Amino acid sequence: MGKLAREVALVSVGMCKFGNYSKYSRSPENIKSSRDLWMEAYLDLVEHMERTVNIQEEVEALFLGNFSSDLFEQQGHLAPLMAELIGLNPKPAMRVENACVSGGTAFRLGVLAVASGFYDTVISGGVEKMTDLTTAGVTDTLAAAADGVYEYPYGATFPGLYANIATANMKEYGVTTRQLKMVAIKNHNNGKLNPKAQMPLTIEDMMNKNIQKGRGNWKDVWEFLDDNKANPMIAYPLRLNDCSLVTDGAAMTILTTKENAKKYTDTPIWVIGSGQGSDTLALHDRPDRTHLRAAQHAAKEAFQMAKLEPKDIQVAEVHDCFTIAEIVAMEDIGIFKLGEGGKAVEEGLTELNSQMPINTSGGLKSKGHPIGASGIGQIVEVFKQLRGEAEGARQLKDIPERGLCHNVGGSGGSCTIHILKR
Amino acid sequence: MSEKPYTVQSYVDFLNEKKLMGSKCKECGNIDLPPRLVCSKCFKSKPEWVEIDGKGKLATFTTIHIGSSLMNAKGYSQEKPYCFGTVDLDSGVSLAGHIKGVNELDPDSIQIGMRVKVEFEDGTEIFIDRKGKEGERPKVFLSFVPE
Repeated sequence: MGKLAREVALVSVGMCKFGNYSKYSRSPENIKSSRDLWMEAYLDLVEHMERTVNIQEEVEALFLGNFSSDLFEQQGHLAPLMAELIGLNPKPAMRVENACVSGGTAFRLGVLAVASGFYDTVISGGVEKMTDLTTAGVTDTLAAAADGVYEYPYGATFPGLYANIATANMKEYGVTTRQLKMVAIKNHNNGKLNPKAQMPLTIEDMMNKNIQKGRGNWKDVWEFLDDNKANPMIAYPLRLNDCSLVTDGAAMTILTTKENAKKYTDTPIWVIGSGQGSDTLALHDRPDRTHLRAAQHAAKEAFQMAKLEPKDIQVAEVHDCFTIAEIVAMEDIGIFKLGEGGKAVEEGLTELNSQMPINTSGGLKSKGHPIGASGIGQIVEVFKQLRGEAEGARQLKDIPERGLCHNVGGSGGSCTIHILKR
Repeated sequence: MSEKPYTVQSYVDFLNEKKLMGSKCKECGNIDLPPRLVCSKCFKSKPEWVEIDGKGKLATFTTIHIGSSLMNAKGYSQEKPYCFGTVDLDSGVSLAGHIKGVNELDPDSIQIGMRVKVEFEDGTEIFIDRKGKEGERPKVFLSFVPE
């Protein structure tokens, strides 16, 4: 198990507004590339800095999370390019790919660099531009994160793999489709309060929009969510609104030493735990398909390093790529016992200002899921919550002291968990 | 039994002969499917080929309405979903695959734990040769049906 050789401070964060900036957009001003979004994230980071620091002088290296600019944008070799855009050339820049946990892994590498003494100040960031491909193209590109020899040729898709995890949980722990829907409802309620969210609408807002457009009439959100037209089945039991979004986005953070942190702020956030785990790429090769061993291992490592227990966590961003994933995540971390996550959602325990607020940002479901940037986006949210700086009503009334970010790759082949403290 | 190397290609070649072949470790007896050059249990390299009995239990499943392009090409669609699941074989190994012979439009009728067996399905795959010329070649697909 790892340990931090010296303290690591998180001193500034930034992200662009997550969204759909596709080349297929009818408004040219809405078309943005990963380069554009990366620079917007940089400006947001600069804006969040309390004191003026010369980033180009201070930052010694860039760790960039990105899943597949090669396939999404026909652009490889992304790290030096992104480093150049924010004035870091000729300093080292490296891209890291761990599917949907590319961002979490880039953050962890930044933590490793600072904690070990290798560098004093680094940027860990992430970027992904997904919307320039057709839906089939996106589906096939994402499938590259699954086992390309033993899963994909036999019909696997990402929703399909998580749907298998869902049916396993329904059978083993009695998870219900109502509980799944409640995850989506909650995350959209939170996302509505996030100005950076791709889809800042509640499910009720969506329903009302559809009613206004004459697409149907439903007596409540439950009827709306059960409607095969309004909320089509993607892979049983997961419907459209059980799936996260296809998103373009970028986010970045500055990590530095305790001594250097003072240059930036009097109130840094401390990275006190970093855990990571791995597992078989193929879901069928795992003895237990209800939970993710990689996440359980990451949690163990992170909590041990932080000398904390799950009950000490007061806010968490977890990887809700699908609604079932949020329930599984909470149980893997240990926030709720095995089989009790679904009930916790149903009882409202994970809502804003409730016992254990989960995905206050809106999560990947409402804020969006730009693969390589998603893990960094989670760090941005917890940083803000711990400093009392989350926008508007999203800020938790009791400003939390300790938060956690849980980022998963593929169907659970890898996972990082970070514990932050103010 | 066979001198074939313990590679992904050999596994696929055997499938095309409608044989489900794994590797058995001569050191510890562990069976790996697909076959492995390095045993997944003792990490020694003393494999021998072993034919796997394709009978087992459905462990997890889904019915996929928005499918992969490979499955769409076979005629599946939003209205015509296919079942995809993981199967624990009696020999202790596991596979994922297309589950046929079930009512995809009524997922509640598909039971985790139901007995299934491997079915080899004749089909074709698109193959692009070194010169970029696209053609089709026969391929046997692995799927499962209720036992």
